[in-house]
Amino acid sequence: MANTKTDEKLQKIAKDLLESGEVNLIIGYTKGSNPQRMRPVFITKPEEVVKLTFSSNAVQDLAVFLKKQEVKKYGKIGITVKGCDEKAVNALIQEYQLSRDNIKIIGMQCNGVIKQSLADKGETKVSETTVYDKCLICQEHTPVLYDFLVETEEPELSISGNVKPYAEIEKLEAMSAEEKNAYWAKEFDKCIKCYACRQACPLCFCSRCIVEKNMPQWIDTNSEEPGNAQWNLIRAYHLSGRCIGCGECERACPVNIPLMLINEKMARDVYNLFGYKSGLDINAKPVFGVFSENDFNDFIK
Amino acid sequence: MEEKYFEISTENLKKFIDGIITDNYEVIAPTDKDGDTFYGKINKFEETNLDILLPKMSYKEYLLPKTETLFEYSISGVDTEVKDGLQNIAGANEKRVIFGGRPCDAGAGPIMEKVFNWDYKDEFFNERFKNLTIISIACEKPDNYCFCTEMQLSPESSYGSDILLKKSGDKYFAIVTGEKGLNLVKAYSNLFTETAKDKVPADKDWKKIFEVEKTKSFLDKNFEHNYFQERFLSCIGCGVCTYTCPTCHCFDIQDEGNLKEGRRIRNWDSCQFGIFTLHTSGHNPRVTQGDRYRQRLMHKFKIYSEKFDKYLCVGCGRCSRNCPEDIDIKEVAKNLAEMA
Repeated sequence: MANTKTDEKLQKIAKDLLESGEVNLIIGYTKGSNPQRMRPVFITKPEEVVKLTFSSNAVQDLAVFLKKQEVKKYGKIGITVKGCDEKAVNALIQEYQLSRDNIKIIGMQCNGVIKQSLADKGETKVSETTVYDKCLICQEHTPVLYDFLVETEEPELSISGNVKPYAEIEKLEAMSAEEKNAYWAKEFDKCIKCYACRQACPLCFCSRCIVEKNMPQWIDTNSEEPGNAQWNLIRAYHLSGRCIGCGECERACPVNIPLMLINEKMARDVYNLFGYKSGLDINAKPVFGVFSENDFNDFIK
Repeated sequence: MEEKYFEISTENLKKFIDGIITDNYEVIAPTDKDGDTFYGKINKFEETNLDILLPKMSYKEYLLPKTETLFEYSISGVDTEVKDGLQNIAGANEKRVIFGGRPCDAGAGPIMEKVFNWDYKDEFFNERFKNLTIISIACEKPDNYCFCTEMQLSPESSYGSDILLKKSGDKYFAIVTGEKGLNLVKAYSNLFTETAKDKVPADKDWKKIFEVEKTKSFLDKNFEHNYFQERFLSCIGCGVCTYTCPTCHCFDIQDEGNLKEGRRIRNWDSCQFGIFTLHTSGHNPRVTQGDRYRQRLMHKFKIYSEKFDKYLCVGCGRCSRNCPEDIDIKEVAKNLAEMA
């Protein structure tokens, strides 16, 4: 792969960080199993930074690795993040999972990543029909927080408005409770309880997930009704006001459950009710971690 | 039974599939759903998508459902009634055909059958497996994630298929391997023409990029090798590899119920989960994701073959295609073979 200016700058930052001992590990992207795929790479030696690269195929949210014990043991870590993924780093700091002092954020300017399902079929162009819905509503093409910024050479994503991101949400909002129930019953019926959504989520960091607690058994273990709905709904609640919208759960789901419709709807509701968006400010208190007299109270009758 | 050979035109293949559907067969085939292709029930031939290589998930669920009820109980006063789950599935799959799968998927059934009959004879698996009829289509263009040839099968292997179809111009050659397939062909004998073995085009010379015996020989000697911890640092333990795999068969037995009624079930489980080997004491022999992915490799390329003389992998490549972090098992198996 030819080294672009972006890659050169990225590699230089990583090399300096490792050589100076400011970090012990760099988490970044490297080329993957086909030309349209990238994969995570973990670099500890300055001479290995040549492996680092970035492109519109960098779909993974690398912040997921910050919750992993095997990664945490490196202590000071440098991480390559797109704007969306960077919000996960912020949320982890907000929720005391990560110390700001232990992380060097290499922010990557990004104008959208190509859906992996399309890239695998050979799609190479970034356009409003090829990127994820999250890219179409993205306000953080430049990450909100970074120690180093690598500017993009890609042209700005042009948005005509013809593609409506998360269009299904409005359809769902217009449905009756029974219709919504039927919609989600059909979707959750597909669930195979692999928990890939949880594992791919940078903010699902519980050392013991509620589905693994069996005294008592809070969530039915079966992969039918009602077990599937129980799992998907409890995850939705645990992520509301926290999800930063990276979409990794939906990308990882092997049976294509549209999980981002749930997460995006929850994020919109939290914003409308509390004026809060997750992962934008490391000094903000998580919305469900604080109480304010001005909070929405209409549900108390 | 010795293999028998037939020809069937593309047009007649459609008639054949539509015919068995009319005869109340449940036909499971690759069909487009939710922006991808999955195995699912079809109501007519037109609903199949035979242009794709492989559906996203395997058809394992028709042999080992994601949740299976083993027995149910209900208590009324002093009376307890227990119902054997086998009653629910008696004759399951008797009129079920899997159509349009590939030789890799077909190969998974007989490989899994070994472990389900090794000590305890698993009546649930056997009941489903013995009745299922599998009509596969040989691959013309495997992709870069495929490695069935390395796994002792081939894109044209008939192992595990009741009927293997090989496309040739506007017709198919049907290789019928057993009675189940032959009975179906006989029922529609007007659509098939019997032919001789030498009329069927010979299999291509499929090349291998690694020798699985070498992969095994590396695994035999290098349990503690650094490769596992380094390469699988990027594994997030999502289990997608095991859940989309046609041969991964681990399950977890659970009880659900209360004082009045309940059931014992078995659910799909995965060696990639941290809790999979967590002991009651709190000790976990597989601490890292490296330990867990190594287990998956060991089971597939070493342990199973030592016990059952078959590798527990058919080389379909689903675990690689579906891995959110792009871990490519073919590349891994090749790496290990090269280090042996």
